[in-house]
Amino acid sequence: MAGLCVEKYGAELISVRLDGTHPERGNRTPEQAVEVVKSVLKAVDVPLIVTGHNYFDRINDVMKAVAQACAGENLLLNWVEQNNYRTIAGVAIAYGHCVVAQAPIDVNIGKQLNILLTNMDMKQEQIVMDPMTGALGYGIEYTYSVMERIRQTGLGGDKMLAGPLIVAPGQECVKVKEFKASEKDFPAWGDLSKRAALWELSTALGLLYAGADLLIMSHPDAVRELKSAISKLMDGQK
Amino acid sequence: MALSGLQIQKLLPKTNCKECGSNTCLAFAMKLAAKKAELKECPYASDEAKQVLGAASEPPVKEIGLGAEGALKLGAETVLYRHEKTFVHQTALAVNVNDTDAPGAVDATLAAIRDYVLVRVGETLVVDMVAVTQKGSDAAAFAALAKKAWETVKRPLVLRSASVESLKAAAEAVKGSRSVLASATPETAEALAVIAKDNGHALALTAPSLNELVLASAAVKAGGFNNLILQFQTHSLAEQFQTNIIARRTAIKDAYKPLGYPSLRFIEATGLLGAAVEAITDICKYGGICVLPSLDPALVSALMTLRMNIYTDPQKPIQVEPKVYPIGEPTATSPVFVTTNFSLTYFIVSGEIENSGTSAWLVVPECEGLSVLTAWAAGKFSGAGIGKFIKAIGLESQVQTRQIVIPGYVAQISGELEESLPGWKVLVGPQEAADLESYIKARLK
Repeated sequence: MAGLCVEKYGAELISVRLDGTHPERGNRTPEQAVEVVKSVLKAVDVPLIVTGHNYFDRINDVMKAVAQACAGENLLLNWVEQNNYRTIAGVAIAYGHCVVAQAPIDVNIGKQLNILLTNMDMKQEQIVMDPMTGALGYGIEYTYSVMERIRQTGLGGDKMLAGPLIVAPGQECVKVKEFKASEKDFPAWGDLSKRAALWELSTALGLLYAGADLLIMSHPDAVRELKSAISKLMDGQK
Repeated sequence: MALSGLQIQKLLPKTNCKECGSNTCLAFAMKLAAKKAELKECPYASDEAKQVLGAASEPPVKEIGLGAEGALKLGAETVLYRHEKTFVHQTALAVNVNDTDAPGAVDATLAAIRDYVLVRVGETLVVDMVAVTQKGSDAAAFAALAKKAWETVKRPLVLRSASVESLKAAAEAVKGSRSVLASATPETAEALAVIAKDNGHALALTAPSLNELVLASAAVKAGGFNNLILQFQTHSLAEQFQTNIIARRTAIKDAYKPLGYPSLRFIEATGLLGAAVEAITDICKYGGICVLPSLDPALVSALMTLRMNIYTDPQKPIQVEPKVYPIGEPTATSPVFVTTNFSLTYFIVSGEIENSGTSAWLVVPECEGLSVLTAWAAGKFSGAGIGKFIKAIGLESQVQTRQIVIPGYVAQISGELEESLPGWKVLVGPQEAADLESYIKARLK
């Protein structure tokens, strides 16, 4: 699966979501999580994002185990937040990984969290900011403006807001009705298979224009088109 | 560029005659600067004052009104980023028909454009315009198709032809529709400006480079016609992105009038996703009119949603309609939740309930579009208010459930809510919507 994402769809990183370690979604152990991460590391040559969930008690243990077992792999541990950063940031520093600093659509909290992390002796180069987003039609405009403000403030010289930005259009889009409902029920929404790709592409490209540096995607067609758009934008080729 | 009160005062008579209703000319100047008064209230304003203030109050991007009543508005933008204030007039979406398309196909497309309706968060969205492109050579046939499009759809048109003759015929055929003639080159601009003016249309200008384009727009304006739209000729996505930004930045930051017009773009990409990329770029980056090659509801619904998001006024909290929302397929015994009518709050809460796989009723009282804590602090999300709302909408006859889950952040209202809803039990839910799924699984199963 991970190999397919890299070889066929050109993924430059792979996000491994350890959702199964959530007590209500499989209750898998930290050891099982380590096994999954290691198997993906073995299968692909690209860097890994290790994505957790919001059940702090468990995810802290999981991230600790993964960080330790994969020491030196420079994983991107996704995520820490204002109310839960010490454990994960600590193991990231100890075992040579990066972290995603997530702030709830709020420039000030984003900055505060970066200050807290750098105070722990985390290097700025180890921090990727997640401004948090919803899918197209589900509050994306708030994130869009927060990202533009973060980027402008960062470019204006504020080092605590100058980091790269990560967003997860794939994960957000699969949750929404536009990704599931049939054309029969919503004729104005059009064909579901086309719509799903278009919804994720619109979410992702909009966020790219707002300043996203890393986008975690899920729809193969959206990935292909987004990658093509990025390459056209970067080198100016048609 | 906006003038300050002191700059305006220098242009006034400084007699403090009070005839405008203000005590001093300075006070009046301050009101003018804050746009709380108009210069015509001053009976002694000089021609110079009128001219300078008139120019200063014009937005850096000219406003263009299209359609019979001029109701479809473009331009009038004042900022480069939505968070600086707000974007004013959203990108207009048009769908194209060609004069060489089979007549049956044209009729079907026009009917589909006319009938397409997307309802989203209480707003009804339609395709704004029809583009009619001449690919054949018969001016009369082109004009007849334009007339048919206008009469069928009753929305302003983009008339696209390389022939002045054909554009003239079409412009006359749909006089009164306030459409767009597309596109004049530096060579044809003078002749087409006359045709546009005589028939009440706007004129799109195009040229191979921005330099040639600004010379053309300045020349047409100097000739007395200013109802202009710019069509940039770009050859790559990067160039589209850069040109849109350069033009708008120059218009707004440098108050450069020759670029201070809305834009027009024909989406040329083949393939649905490729077309989407170009259209998304226009919607995010200052596009005026964006012409899609065909009407695909999957594409149009995504673009209209993106456009709604980008053009939402960030100064106003956006709201959903206060009512009881069914999540999934709730029955009379499904659980009942309550949250505020701030759109983002509503979408997150309803999304999390939906994700849990549980069907439920979500009560959303009027709280002026504030989030939970803000609404509570402002007294708009009180136990008494929620209770009153639930009684008023008749939820008690709609459901048998007598338990209601309130957001964890407002646990303190539970007593008051129980008092105002006799027979109900109030449950305190999680503080964060993200924890709703676990809450529902642990507490409501």
